[in-house]
Amino acid sequence: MLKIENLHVSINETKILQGLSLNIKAGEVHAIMGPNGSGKSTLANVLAGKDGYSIDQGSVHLEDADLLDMAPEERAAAGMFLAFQYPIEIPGVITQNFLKSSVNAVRKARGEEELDALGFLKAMKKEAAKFGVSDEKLKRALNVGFSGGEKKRMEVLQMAMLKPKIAILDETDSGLDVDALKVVADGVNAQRDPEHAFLIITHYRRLLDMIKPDVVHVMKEGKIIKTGDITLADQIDDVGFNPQKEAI
Amino acid sequence: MSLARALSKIEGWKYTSLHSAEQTQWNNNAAEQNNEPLETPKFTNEGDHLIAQNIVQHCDDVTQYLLGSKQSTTRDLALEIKPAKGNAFYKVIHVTVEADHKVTLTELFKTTQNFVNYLVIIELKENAQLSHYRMIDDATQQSTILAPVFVQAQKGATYTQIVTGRGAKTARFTTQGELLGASSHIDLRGVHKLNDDAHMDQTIVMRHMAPDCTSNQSIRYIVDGEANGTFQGQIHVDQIAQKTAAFQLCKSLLLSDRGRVNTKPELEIYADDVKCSHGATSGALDQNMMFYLQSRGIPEEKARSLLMEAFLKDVFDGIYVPPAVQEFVT
Repeated sequence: MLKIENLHVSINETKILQGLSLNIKAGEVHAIMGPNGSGKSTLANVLAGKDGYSIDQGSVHLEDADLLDMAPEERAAAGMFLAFQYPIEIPGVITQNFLKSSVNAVRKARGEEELDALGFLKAMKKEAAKFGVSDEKLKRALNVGFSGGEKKRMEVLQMAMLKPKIAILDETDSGLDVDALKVVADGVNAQRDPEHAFLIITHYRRLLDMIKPDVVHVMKEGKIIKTGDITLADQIDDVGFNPQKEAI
Repeated sequence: MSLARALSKIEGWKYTSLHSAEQTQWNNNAAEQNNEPLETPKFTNEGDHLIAQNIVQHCDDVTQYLLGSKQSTTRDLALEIKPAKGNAFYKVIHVTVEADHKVTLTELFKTTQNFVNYLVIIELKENAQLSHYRMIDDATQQSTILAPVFVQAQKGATYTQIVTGRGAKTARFTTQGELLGASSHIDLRGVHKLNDDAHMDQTIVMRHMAPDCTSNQSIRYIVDGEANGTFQGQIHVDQIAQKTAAFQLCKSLLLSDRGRVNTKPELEIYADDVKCSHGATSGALDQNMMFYLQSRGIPEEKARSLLMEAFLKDVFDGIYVPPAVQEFVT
């Protein structure tokens, strides 16, 4: 479903991704682990279409669509979703108005009928209840004054409402307590089916214990250096990312 | 010497010029001169005082409004500001709000190639409250609008002002607020969306002359094209005005390379127990916010308009804004 081939990316002449390839099939959950500075967040941002990166080589396809040619909103319509490591606070934009604009923009781009006010409210409230997002939060400015955990819940709520083909979770687990972690894991697990795929970027295995990915990759210095199953995460827990200690 | 030339030598008029207005042939068509003497209120800025004097000298019409008195049936006042005859006009209104009354004054500047010289004098008696809404709708952006306000607040009085619109060819909205009675409050908000070569100047002089008063100045500009927004805000705190709290903030969003915003804060504080703050920011739309919205499927144009609307509405924090004014802003 998501096919990344030999991706080279740099920022201001500094090479960040250096020949990264990754193939995620529909229905699969992949995890990428790796030390700080290995390029994990760059990968997430490049996939979502953030400005400021120079794509030097390689290609990214979401099904048949050439992602690198598309604006961020087109990628979202095509089924790409990025749960941000640091969700942005937007003063003055009311959360539920934002959600409605987002959901209807994506529906429209996908040729689906836009939801009317009532239909949207119903859908939103159903998902919000699942992820423990209160009515009061939905009426406040987006992410403004939300705690770290609340921001991440909001990301998962958006993921649930936009129903992406592939969702990338960029260190969504960092700084979360066990309850919030469980909300995130439940959100992923609830959407897991043969049509949807996930890419979980993380430092830690506790989220992976709850999600149980099909494939685990280790990323270092801008490329995937090892691929395996969940047992790879166990090894990393034991010896860290340092290849001198073990063969990771 | 012409008024435009006199003003051009005054520091506070650096960003607003009356030269082109003076070169235009205006047709005043004043009915008959009303020679009732009127004293010009004392604007401390020299240039604004000249403007006020000029309006007083030329005006054929001084209207007194006594709001809240037993004799008057008027509670709220709504005025359309445009010349009745000709394309220029000079007008003075003098509004007094009686003690303990709460009223609104709404002005719609409905101009098309006009020269508006309009002075508003406001007296707020004890505990009176006035909400003053000034909406500028200059259809062709060919008008020059000079609309100074002189407001005096007695003990416990509250004056709230919102100025909003898309500017004009030349627009100078000066407000001099005088907090004369203890525990009075003046709150001035301005929000302007300027395109093409529109111009807007909000100049404020806030004079704290009594203890325990609060004041606020909060201005927003969105500037596109070659438009020009100016904010000059002065806070003067007299020696006896202890426990003053006076705040001032101007935020601007610059959407083009050729748009300009000039901001000049001035604080003059003679009391020692005061809280004052001022600030000015200007910049482009936040790219991280844009990316976040777009990554959620919201098209670039829509994302921009959401962020612009949010930027503008932030100025209304903490005050009641009637729906008509809200709608006018967006």
